[in-house]
Amino acid sequence: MRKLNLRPNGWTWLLTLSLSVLLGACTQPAVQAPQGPAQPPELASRENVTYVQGQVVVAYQGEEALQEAIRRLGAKEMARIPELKAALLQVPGDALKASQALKGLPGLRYAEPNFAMVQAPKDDPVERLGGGLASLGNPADQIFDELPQYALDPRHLDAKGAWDRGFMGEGVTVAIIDDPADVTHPDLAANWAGKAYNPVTGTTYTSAQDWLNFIQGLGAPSNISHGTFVASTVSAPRDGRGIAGLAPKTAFLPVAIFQPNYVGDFYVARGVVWAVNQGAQVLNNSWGGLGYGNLVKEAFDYALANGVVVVASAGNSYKDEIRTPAGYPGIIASAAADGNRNKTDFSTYGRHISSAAPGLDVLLANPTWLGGGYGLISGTSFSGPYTAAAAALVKSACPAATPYQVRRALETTTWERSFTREKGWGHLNARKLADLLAQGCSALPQKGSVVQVKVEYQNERGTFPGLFADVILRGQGLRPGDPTDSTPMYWARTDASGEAWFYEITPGTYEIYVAGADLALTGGRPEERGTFVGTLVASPGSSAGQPDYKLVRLLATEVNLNPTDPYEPNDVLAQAKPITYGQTTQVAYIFGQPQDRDFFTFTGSAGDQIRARVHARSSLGGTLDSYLYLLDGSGTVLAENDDMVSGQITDSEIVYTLPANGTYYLVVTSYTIAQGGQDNSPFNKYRLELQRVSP
Amino acid sequence: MRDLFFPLLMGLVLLLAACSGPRNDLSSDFTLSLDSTTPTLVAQQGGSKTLQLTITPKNGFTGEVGLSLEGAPEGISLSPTSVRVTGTVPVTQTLTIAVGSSVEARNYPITLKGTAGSIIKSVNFTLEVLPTGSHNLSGIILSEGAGAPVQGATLRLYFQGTLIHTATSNAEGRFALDRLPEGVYRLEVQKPGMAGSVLEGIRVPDMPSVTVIQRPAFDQSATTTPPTLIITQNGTASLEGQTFTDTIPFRVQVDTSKDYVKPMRFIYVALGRTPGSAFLSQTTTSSRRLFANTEDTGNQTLTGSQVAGLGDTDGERVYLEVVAYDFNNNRSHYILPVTFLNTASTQNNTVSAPTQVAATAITLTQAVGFYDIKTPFTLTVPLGKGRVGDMPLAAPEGSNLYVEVRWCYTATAVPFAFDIERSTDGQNWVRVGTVGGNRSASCPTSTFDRPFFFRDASPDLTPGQTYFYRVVARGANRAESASSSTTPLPSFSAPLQAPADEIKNVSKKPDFVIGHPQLSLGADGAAYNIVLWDTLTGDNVAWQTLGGGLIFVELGTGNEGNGIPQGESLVYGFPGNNLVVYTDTAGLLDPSRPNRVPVNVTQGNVTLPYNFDGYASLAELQALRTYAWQLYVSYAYKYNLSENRIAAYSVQTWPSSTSFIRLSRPGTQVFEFTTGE
Repeated sequence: MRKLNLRPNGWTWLLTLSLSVLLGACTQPAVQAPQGPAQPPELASRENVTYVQGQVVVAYQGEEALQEAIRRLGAKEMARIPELKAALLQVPGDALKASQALKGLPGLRYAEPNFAMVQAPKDDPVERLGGGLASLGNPADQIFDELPQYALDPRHLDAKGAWDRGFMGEGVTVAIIDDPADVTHPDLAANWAGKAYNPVTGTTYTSAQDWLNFIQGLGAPSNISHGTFVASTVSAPRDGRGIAGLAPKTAFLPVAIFQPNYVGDFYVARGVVWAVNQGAQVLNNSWGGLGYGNLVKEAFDYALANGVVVVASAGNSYKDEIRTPAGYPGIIASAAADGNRNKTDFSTYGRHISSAAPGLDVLLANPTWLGGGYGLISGTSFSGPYTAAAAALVKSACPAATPYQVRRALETTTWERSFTREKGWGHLNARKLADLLAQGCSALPQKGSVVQVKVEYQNERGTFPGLFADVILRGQGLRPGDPTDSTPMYWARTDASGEAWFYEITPGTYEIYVAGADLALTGGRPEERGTFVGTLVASPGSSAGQPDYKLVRLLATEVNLNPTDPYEPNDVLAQAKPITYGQTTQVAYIFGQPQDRDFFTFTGSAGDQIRARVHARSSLGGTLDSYLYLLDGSGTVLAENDDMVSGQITDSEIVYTLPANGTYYLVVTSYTIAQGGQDNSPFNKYRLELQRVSP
Repeated sequence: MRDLFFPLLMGLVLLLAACSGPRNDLSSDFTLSLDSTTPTLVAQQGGSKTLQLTITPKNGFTGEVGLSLEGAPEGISLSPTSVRVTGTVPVTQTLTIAVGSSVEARNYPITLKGTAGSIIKSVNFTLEVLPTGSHNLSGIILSEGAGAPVQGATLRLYFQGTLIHTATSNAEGRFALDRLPEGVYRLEVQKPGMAGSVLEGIRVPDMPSVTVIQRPAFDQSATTTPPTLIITQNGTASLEGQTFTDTIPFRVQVDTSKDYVKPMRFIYVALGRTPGSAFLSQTTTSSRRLFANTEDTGNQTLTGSQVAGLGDTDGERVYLEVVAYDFNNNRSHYILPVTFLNTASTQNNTVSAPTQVAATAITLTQAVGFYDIKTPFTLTVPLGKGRVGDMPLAAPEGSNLYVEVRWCYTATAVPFAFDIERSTDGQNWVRVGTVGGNRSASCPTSTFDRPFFFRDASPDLTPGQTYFYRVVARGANRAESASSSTTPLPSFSAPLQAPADEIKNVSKKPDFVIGHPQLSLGADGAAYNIVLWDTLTGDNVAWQTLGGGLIFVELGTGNEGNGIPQGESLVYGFPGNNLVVYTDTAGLLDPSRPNRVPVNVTQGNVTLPYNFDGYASLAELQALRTYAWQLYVSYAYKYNLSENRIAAYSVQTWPSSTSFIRLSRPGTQVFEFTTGE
């Protein structure tokens, strides 16, 4: 058991953590067996990281590096996203370990498990269905087609204020990156873009019946409805039937990233790229979690670099916090408002919020496989697509508007037009947005900036790529904790080539903080991390082709991707290196082969109580979740240990009273190898300590 | 509104006529009108009532108009008795009609006469004289359970269909009306920004105190008229006042011809002996019906656990309660008496007293799951010194303060019912609830595992007040348990103090400081867990105190409290299930008097140095990196020394962001900070 690289991402995960963590305080030992096979896609989550079993995402610079990675892992290429230079590999054994084994491969930008840390909408209790509907007797100005939609009425989004002047999103395609939306719903079919995508198989569907068959084939229709609700938020036509979306002449383009479980970051990235390549001008993302993921960030960067607007729901966490993808630079983060245009209690909020839109008890389309019709539903999942729809109104009127211009067009035409952390620039107002659009595209706000930061590590050995570095842009004059300060702050990290990108951000002067490498990964000492503090000016109109560029050289230790273990070779009993009571070894590595086991030997007396401890990730950093064996002189296992505190301190420790005088062995390896898997990372560092406790 | 509107309209019409009409040389004149076309004035014996009279001059009439009442019995008086008209505009005068206490209670047709010289005009109205009673009706308006009173709500009390009282709720949401005659009342509550609420079927004097829930309006611009319900046995047969045996048939329909906001959210139906609390909570031996998204429940029944412990073999008067919410959160609450015969044979059993009764008060920062009870979550809490266990957090809907009463019943003879009784002095007991009787051979040590329970969410529960609870088993006899006491805590909030939100240049080994308002709360300690996320550029937890375990902080409350001398402090946890004392300024558990987690008694805060417990993933935080910290768990607790357990919890935050349970999430602070170089 290990708690390694804890990626606290999905909502479900948080709940699981809390329970296991709380159990730690009570009298039951918190022992958890590794989870067995899950439903497809099979997820591994025994380390509190959830990812797809047997799948590694590799981002490469050239074909050679990719082929080398495939060779090293004994992997099979499953899929590729050429636009992102990323591939998904099927690997034998544990994916997390395999990804770590690749780190440092020349020509490799990064390797990571195919993360699946995003909660599927079916598991989000906020977004539960509310009402079934009969004919309703509500104010006439809430009726647009048949059913009342407070969200669109003149006291909320004021949709007619835009529609009556012809702003209905015509000609714009909005990708619904979600569970598969129902393209046959009577109140959606007319606005289907004619294509839908399953990123897992790479299949583009052009037949509604084939798409329905695919959905039925997922075997859990009752857990697939979110995408249909979301699509109708944007694109339900104004046809006298049921409801209308805020952009009732847009076409919607379904991308199935929940089937019904999250398909993993790789396929999400592939779906994003597909949608951009299909000509989607707006991407709606009613999903998210905690934690930074390179591949998904890069996929959205690809969208932004192509002028595509990216909208993401802030989250349903109740808290002032940054969740992803809503918190990535350049993405429009949406908070959910209630019937009185106030923030809902569940909506995530903070400095990064762009705006708010209705997200409480919104009336939307229910998929036909669940009986069709309409239902009430709540969540930032629905404020997001109202925002995407508003973006589509802008893109329809001004196709050349940049994502930042679209964002500002929305932000400058809200009801409030002033910033709070709860609702960003305020509650969207389509009538005021139309007032702006009616002035022509030259009246749009100024363009945003694109910033590229290139990091290098420099020391007496030379200059090296600045991989795994943090880059923070903090707007000058930012007032900490001020509830009405809109000064932006952005985070990104460099990939293995040392680059960090900030697309479509607010122009202005920033404090820039750069530091690397990530000691949590490398296990390096604090002094090995280089730092840089400076300022950076992001100029309006800089672009992917001509970014505001900054080169930062950190005086830092390069990431050593090929460390030397002073005790190797010590892989078998006969090669065991001596260790004595009171000694702690130098730093050694479980590295250099797929299943490294390091043998040490000592001489003890009958009655000696010994304590052998591996200092690894929990105390030294790095990536090693250690495993320790004590053997007698004949090689028989006397004792073994995985975690000192199960799931919490993953270093290993054995306390044992020796039965006889003689030779003993200590064997250090990793948990994964002890389980029969492969684990080969340059960051698998440890030191072994041996003490005699008594006599 | 109508009171003001009508004379204004009249005035306008008449003015228009004066401007455009022919200038005939007619003699001067005037007309009389009242503020309603067929006015009925309701007043109680010994009371008075006002009405608006408008005198409209015509053709230049001016002068004094004398007023008098005709048809009024002795004891009814009018004031003033004259009104002066000086100009051409209508004059509106408020008249007061006083009713003597000896006036017979009935309807009187009355003519109000206006006399000016030879001009005599009159207008008719009806005076309804109501009997004066000696009864009181008080109550409280709450938006969500205890602690959320609705102040300044307008109340209208109807008796036999007529409005007899208006009142306004005070700062505590309370109101009190007196001199009411016996009868059945309807109470309507309105307040701008809030949904409407109506309580129909209040029995005076049987129900001297009522609770009215009034939710914030979903959309303040929508109607606040609560839905009108039609409650029958099957759509036609009357239900109210009928007699039923073992099963009660019912059907609830919304009158769709009346104003309300569609769709309906919920309709609750329950049987209770305690008016006003019946539908709130399900327990192991009691339940209620719930219908979502419908305007018609169809033909249904209450039976089994829905009626367990209620009624008797002779037929007992019990109340059926129906509560309905529409889309705008408008609420209708109907109370209907029925006679209920219960033939359960357990009524013949000779029963024993319930055992191991334990009452525990739980306070939440915000009411939870208003419409929807979720699967109970559990929170690991200390149950007493050195003991921990799981506490179910299943608050009754709309409640942020409730008392969970748990007990055992291991005797062989199954009781018919358990009555839960409450007292503030241990002497005088009031029944707060009844659930079905049952037995269970199991009687766990852990309070919250005991098989039978009741959740008292009465809105009058007050923090700081000690309550005694006992459980009475009923069969052929009554058997009272020993009592258990609890003192609810006020709402708890430990603010994050340092590192402050969004600051930079923070030390790589920062001290994490949180406020610790234990003493001001009257608590004996608080439990915390702090988590430090490394998620802005990473995907890790950088540190979670005690690897997720709780850290207990107790400021001395003396021998009557936690046993720690005042001014001293104790901080401890159970890493790896072993007790570790981090701070013990009095040397109670550790003579070396450690102070690794300092508690500042005067400032009321606690300082947790980074990695004081050794659970951080790095010995120091990384330079120039952004982290986010929050209280993952935070609650205060209070010991009950005589029962050797903790009897009150006040929960600030709860380690689940998934739940629609509104438990504390809105108040959870998350502070980001960036380390220095």
